[in-house]
Amino acid sequence: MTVRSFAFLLLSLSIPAIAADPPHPPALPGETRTNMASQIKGQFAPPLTLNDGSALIFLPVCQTYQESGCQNEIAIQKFFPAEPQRNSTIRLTGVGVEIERTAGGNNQHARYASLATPAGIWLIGPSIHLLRPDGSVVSGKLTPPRQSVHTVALPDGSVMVLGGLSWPSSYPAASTLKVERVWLDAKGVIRSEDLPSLPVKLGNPGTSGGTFGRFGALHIGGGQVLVTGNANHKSTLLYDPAAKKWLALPAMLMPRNDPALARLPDGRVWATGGEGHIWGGAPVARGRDLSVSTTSEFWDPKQRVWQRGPDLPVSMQDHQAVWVADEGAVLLGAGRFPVLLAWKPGDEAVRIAAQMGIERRGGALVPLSGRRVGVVSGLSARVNANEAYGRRSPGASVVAWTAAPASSRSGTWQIANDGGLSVRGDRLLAAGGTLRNHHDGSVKYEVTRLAELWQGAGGQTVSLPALPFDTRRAEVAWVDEQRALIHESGQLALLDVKTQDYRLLDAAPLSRDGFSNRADYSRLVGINHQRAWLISENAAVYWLDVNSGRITEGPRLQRQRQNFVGRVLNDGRVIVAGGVVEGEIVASRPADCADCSPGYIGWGPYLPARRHEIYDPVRKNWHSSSPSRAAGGAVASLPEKRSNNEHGGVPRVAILASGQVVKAGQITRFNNEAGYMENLRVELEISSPDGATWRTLPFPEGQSPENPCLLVPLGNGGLYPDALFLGVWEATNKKDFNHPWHWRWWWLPSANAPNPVWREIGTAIPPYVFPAGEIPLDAENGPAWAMGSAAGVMVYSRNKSTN
Amino acid sequence: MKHLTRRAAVLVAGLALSIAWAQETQPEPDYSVPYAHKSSGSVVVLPPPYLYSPDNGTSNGTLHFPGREYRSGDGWWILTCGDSKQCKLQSARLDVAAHPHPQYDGPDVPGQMLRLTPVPPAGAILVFKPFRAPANALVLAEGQVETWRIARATKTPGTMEGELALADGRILRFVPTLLVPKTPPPERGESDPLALELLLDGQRQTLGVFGFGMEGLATLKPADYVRWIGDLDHDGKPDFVVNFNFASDGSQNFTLFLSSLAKPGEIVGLAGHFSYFSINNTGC
Repeated sequence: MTVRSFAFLLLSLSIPAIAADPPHPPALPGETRTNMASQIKGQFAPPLTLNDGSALIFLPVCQTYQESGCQNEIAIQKFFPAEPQRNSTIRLTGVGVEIERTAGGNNQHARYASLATPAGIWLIGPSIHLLRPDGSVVSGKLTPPRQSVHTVALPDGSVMVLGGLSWPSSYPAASTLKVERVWLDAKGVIRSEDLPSLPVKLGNPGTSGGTFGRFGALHIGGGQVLVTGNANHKSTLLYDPAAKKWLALPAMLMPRNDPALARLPDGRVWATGGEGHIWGGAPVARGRDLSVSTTSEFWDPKQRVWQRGPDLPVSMQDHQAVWVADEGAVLLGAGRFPVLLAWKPGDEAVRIAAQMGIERRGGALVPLSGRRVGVVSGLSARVNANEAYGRRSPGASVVAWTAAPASSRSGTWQIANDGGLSVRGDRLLAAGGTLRNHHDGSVKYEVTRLAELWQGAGGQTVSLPALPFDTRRAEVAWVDEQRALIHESGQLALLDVKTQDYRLLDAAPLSRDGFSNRADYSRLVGINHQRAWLISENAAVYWLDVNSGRITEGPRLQRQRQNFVGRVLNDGRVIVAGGVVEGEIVASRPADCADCSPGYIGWGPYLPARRHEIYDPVRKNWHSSSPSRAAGGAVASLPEKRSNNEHGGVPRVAILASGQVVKAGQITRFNNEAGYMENLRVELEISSPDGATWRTLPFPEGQSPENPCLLVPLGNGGLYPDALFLGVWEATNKKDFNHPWHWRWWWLPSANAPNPVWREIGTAIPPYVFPAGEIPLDAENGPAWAMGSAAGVMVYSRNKSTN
Repeated sequence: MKHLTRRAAVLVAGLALSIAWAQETQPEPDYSVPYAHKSSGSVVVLPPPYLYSPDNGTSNGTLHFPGREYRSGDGWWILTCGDSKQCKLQSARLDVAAHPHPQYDGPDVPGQMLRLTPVPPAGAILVFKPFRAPANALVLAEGQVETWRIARATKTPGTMEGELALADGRILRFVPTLLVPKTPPPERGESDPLALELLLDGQRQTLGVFGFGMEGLATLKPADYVRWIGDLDHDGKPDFVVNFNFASDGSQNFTLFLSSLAKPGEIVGLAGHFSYFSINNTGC
């Protein structure tokens, strides 16, 4: 036993920001950031939320390997996100906290668990340390020493310690299923007793490399501890303290890895999100691959069953769940994305409660008074690198939150990729898309069930219930004042904005083109007179009668086209532009029908398009426009050099309400010496409304962008129907890959003005492509604003309806 | 003694006749031996050596194959087309010598080194020998061979189709056709085979299926898959050599079709086929 006394130090450790990392996105309206100079790096235990509006951060005193004389000394920083003037630091020396060891020539770092009980603050890992309320420290040890343990506070003040990895670390990692109970006895000595080990068979099929690492553990009353949420093992275990044994209970409905667990007042446990995937063949998936990160389920302790819970509008992974008693709500946050969700038992829907500008994965979620929440520290993604792990988010963010649908927060849709946007009057509806996850060394795009409505009058953002299906690339179109149609890869839902209900439509005909069974992407390009147009990348055209739900085939496009944009115009014309078109077509017939007459379908190669196709509602056929000088205008990759077919691209072609097509295409020339086609420059062109002619538009002065993003106003565009928005991805220092990179934006009030002059709007730091929030425009026709994302821009004024 | 000599002469003559007979009537390839059936059909066809990569050690006009199916002998022909698009036949001899063949993932196996005399030039399309009935009735002579050119299909622009206008005004069409399964495959994304179909007067004949290797499907021009089209059997109808392989792994897959060998219901008959993937090739 080791006891040390110490003194509080009224100073905080702060490490200067490393110059190589670019800045984080700025704070959103309503977001307050404190202590942003504090990097809080090297945390060896998770931050611990206390009930006084603070969080404890556990740091090694030695911040670099070069420092000496401070190994295994720690500092505990008490962080008040809303009252930084109250921050303080405790430095513990000589208590034998082993956080680093050199073994086999390698430096190893131990991972401790942190939790609070009436006895004090526990740090449990290779060694045990209890920081008592009187400031003394008592130490002990686990048998054998181990790290990365799970801990659960028990009602008698003791702590259940479950599992963990060996210490020193071994390769491959050796997992233990041991369970111990530790407590402080009356003499002030840390005691421990062995409890029955977790009844999990390591090495069985389904266990990952012989480890049982990630799972959830929660005290559910009466000393009972629920262990669940290990996707590899799928079982649910319950510790019965009276019998001193583990009971095997029904597995979760879905294979979740590390969900967040919250105990509800009625005794149920709500498990949300986590990592995991269900293939389409499973009954619960209904034929589509399903991500567990947008789902939840309840554990009913009386019936001892898991039941499906409400879906989540955004993916929740590595997050926390906090019960806010004053509000009677569960807050979900500090996960991979800067989004907080809230749910009140009894409500049908989980709502987006708040939006921050900076990610804080793994940070401390600290409920504050006045329906505010602070998120301290955490990690954010390095979006300016192809592969990179997260970096420490400095300081803390404080935001107001609400479980009510409407609030004045910024929309989450502004950071979504490949989502759908549609404008009607002064309302913008956003649905679906992905959120970019760059936390674990590779770029992933997490599905969402996002649905938000922004109402210009009042500037409120409404969090709609989660979509009835996961989305990766969604489209949305208003049907009338009250209804909107949402489409994602052959799944259709009709949303009633007033009742906030979804009705799934039968979209089976979309999975076949009527000729062969080749499944191709289709997209909703618009609605006219209750008829929705869905156009497939294999040139098939489908009409959906929104009222009857009946799908019929329309006239096929002339060519198969990928990565196109489409638009249904008010006069009944439909335009499909941009992307790549198949250079060849091929005869095709069923293999088992030699006498069947062949039809023709696209074959390839795909070549950047120079023409667009126009549907004539009078002649009821498609015809091609004249060719532009430049080719392409595909939905292009972001500068991180991904292929055109991956998610997250930005558009380089857009269709105005007049039917004019605007395109940033590539002018090429065949290099005879080299023997290949080379790119000369990107050119900006605009067609006439009938597609017969093209003319060139200038870029903003001094700009010759290689990967511009081109957007036009959604809806009719109101006062600026032929406005253009141009984003250029630029690096302030092209030699330093880690130096700040951002999008810079300009706008043209009218692309048809005799001498168009671009006006600068501002910059956007990833994950934002378009500047966040409402952007004032320098406009002649009165005050105007723009709000947008990579999916489109809404132009509006608050004086009158503009759309 | 004189009597013995005459007897010996008969024996020797008989033996010579046997040997010649053995050469002319090639024994049936032993299909139980791996890689023994590269050439099949009544016409033995071989690829021109220059088409092989230098890695196979055949840059000097030789071919090196595993197995023991080939025999030395005369009666071979080389079809060559020069820059002037004139094509000609040249008689040749094949000499075969045993030579072990390396394997990519194992010890050497028995093999053969094939040497043609004369060495087929760079424009050689085909090396072949009518082997057995009915092909051995072919009457071939050195010199020019009537040759036609396949053209892009006019009525189906933007396709990979080719056509040949026959003397009688009919159009012979080569139509690459994607064969799609009528019912969904167990897994989505399964590639559908691209076959070559021959159309004439409403008659349709599937000639074979194209192979594209790991590189995946590609766009073809008619001249890519019809290596030669002409009249080899002098019946006034087109014969052709079709290449079915478009993988860049050095494999070969081509067929000689002769109009005179067409069976009932066919437009042309399969005369000879060569298919081989080098066993010492990694394939990637």
